[in-house]
Amino acid sequence: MLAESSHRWPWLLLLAVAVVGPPLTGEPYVAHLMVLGSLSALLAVGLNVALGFAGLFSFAQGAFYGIGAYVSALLVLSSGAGFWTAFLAAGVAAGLAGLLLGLLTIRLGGHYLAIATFAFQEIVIVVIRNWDSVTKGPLGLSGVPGPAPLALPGLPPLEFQSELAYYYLALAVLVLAVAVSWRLRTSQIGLELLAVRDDEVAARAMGVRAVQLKIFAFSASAVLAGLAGSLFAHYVKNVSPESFAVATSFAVLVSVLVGGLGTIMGPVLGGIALTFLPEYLRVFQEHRFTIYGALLIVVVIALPGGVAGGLQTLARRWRARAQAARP
Amino acid sequence: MAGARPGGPAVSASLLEVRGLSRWFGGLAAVQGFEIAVAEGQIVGLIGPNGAGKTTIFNLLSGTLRPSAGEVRLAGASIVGRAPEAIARLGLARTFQDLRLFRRLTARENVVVAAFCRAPNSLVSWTFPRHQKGLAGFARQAEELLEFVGLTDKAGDLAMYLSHGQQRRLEVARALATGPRLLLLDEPAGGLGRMESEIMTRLIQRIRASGVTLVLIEHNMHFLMPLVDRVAVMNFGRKIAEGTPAAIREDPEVVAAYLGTAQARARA
Repeated sequence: MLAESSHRWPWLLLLAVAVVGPPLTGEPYVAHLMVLGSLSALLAVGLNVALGFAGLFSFAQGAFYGIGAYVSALLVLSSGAGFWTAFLAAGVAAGLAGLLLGLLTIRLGGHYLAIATFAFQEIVIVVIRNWDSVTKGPLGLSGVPGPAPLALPGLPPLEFQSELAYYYLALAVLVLAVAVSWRLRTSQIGLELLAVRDDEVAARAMGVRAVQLKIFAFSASAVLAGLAGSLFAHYVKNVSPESFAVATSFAVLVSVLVGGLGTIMGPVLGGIALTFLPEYLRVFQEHRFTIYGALLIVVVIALPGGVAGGLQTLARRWRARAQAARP
Repeated sequence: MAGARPGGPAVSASLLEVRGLSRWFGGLAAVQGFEIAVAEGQIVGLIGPNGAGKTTIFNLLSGTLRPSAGEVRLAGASIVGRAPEAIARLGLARTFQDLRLFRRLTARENVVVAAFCRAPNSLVSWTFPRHQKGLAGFARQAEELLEFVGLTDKAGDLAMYLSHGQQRRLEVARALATGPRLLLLDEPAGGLGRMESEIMTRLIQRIRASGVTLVLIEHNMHFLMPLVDRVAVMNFGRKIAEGTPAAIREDPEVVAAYLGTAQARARA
């Protein structure tokens, strides 16, 4: 009712491919890439809540990702907490950091906010690199344990040792995040955020609590990044600062833009596609990243609404033609 | 000051009372010592040459700009210094001269989001599924308002794709959706052709009939004068006259402001 109606079948199709595809290939490397792709998608879904819904430019997604990873790893390594506790703590810690940054900077408009988040990103990395006693500096933390098997009543315990098993864990979190973002988009809050994105002055004059809502969207986006960070830390088992540097923030931004800003499916497609693309460009050897960059430019120019926006336009045209053909 | 009214018959119950309203930008007084009282059910026009401070007054009343000095009372309660979203909730709505619609939302969504003004705080309620059902009522009100302004068949179109006249009417529907007691219309007929102006005139008359008090900024006197009960005239940030449309037309200071006096022209 509140959002444009959307078909269910592209989602079911995508989910079916995501569940069945990797085991069918039988290659652990595909499952490995799908883990990383799911984490990129999770980061992108998060940024999309801030940038796509509320119009908040943030370059700090990599920093929130890092906060989640370090909090989760440190908690398990130092206090012996379980993975699930650490996972939730990572989300809470990143969310609190987002809330604090939001409270301080959200009143800044457009470009100034982008610069403030950029500065925050750099500060977080400098702190991680230099707080040797806690973060082990540039060396990073090693030997982060994977999640313990999850015992569900009436089922054999779920193991997360293999790439494939871990992928299903990451996929489950991603599906949950997409569901939350969908719910957000189709609720009162989602429509209010879009109004703020389009015209904050008018939105406030119509009674929309713009400042509160923007801080909320910014924090929510940080929570998703923090959860992704925890999943990353317990997957690769070693965390070091460079995984969370500003390059990561840019990569997330690019995957949201390429996938389709403000759409639900776009960030998922963008995050996964941009994880796989460089791998498939390996045949071009040293020209790989030149071609990667050129492809990004083409997509951004040819599809201003991203891949998801392009698909929507295509579907609309197809439907209009089907309607015109009917007598 | 508040509530310290002397006994006896109540002072005329003005819906809007403005006293000494001023706003400086650096050393420049955009509005200085503006006063007005608008009784419930009236339509008041606000006119004046470009740059006289009319839109600034709307910005000050609606909280978009903070006044440098002065008092604004809506139904007796002071609203000076309040946030625009709080003022909207107290029953003061406005439109924008430069059409500030939510461009990438549909016409329907533009109105629904304004109707949420009367819903509970979305940050508190969004997680409860019951809440979703409650929102259906706002969607229905939005449909009624779109019909009221004659945009039912455009409900699903993005606001940016509507014609200029349709966008002006959507601004009005959106402002009405907040459930105002006082509605400020900033050049509702700006850029409209004759047909569309007439549609807007009828629309404003129907809004008044529904019990909403109105203040209009307008340059088109043929449009404004037949609609309003009183006119306030601004020049260089000050109110220079106020009265019935007939009295204002004869006022020498008003005529001078619009046409220039022989002296002023000689000085220029």
